[in-house]
Amino acid sequence: MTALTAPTPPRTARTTAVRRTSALRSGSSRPSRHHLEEPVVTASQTTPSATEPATTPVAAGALPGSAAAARAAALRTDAPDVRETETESERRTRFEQDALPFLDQLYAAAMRMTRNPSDAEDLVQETFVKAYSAFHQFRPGTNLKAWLYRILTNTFINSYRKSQRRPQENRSDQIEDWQLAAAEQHSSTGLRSAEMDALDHLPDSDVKQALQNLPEDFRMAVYYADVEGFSYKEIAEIMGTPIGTVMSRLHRGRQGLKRQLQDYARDRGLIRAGADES
Amino acid sequence: MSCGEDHGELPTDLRELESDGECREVLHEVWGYLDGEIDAAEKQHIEHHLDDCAPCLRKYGIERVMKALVARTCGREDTPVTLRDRVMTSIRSVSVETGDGAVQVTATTTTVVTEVDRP
Repeated sequence: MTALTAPTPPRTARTTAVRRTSALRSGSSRPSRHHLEEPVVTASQTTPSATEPATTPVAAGALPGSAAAARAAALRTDAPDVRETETESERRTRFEQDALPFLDQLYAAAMRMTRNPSDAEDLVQETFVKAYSAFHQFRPGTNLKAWLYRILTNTFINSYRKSQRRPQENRSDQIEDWQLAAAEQHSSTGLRSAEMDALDHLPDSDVKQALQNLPEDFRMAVYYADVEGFSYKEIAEIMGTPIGTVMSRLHRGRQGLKRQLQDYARDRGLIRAGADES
Repeated sequence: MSCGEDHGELPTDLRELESDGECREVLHEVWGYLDGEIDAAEKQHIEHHLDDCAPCLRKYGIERVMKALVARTCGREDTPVTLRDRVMTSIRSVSVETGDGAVQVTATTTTVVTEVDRP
């Protein structure tokens, strides 16, 4: 017999209400450990700004090889809007079929944003809840992937970025050493062919770290372009910036990335300073 | 041990490159080319130039390798096995009514806390 007075916690998985602030949550609901909250809020309060692309959809044809593109082509020909006739249950099924396949991709992007698995999971969950709540506003056949990424990005900015303890250190308005260095070597020779091979031999962790070190806006622009293959126009809509800003972020992000990868390759002895070209 | 400096002389062809307007123009467009953001005529112009200009081709090659490297290494994460269920549960707890132009969203956000038995 032990002297513990606290009740023994359950040993199996259990579900408790989460306290995270959500756009879906109305004012004074009190968090509870054992009861699920069911706040009822009106549309004017709940509609996240992230859902705006529904009115300015990105062209679905920009997604190469996607089923969405094929479906969009079919829908363009005066097909009736499924949203007008479907039941909530049907809409839920459609959401699960169309949106849920993006779960892994969104989680990877959330990891790049939040840099930790716990926040990334919360962010993805919140993104899907918001997306589902606004799914009736999403026009079928338009760019679902970009729409989901925009919700992810806005949710991150509104709920997570401010709670993360790096308010200044990773914002793009702060000039970092590598940026100055990159600017100085503007007219440099760049890497040599041997160094190209060296880059290919860098461990994945180095590349991830280099991306991670970029200021957030640069990091996500590069991620959207290089990993997700979004067009500049799509990135502009996802990030809510003009295309020129996207191009500038990409340019500076890539400069920073290259500089860091060069350094990693030298540190690992994959390239020798001043080595002759092979 | 590396000091991080490039001790090599600037190769002659690159000196030429610096002063060559066409090279500068092409290199300026290389990312647009790699990102698929330029039209067919510009694309052809760049490809034609890269066929003939080794220094530009080398620079282009590095950018291409970098883009591929990021694509290959940064987009993969092992999604936690519980996340899909957690998301499904969340979605199913959201009730959206869209009748009569009025939208009402009822949401329950849950998180799953798994406590592992200690040996």
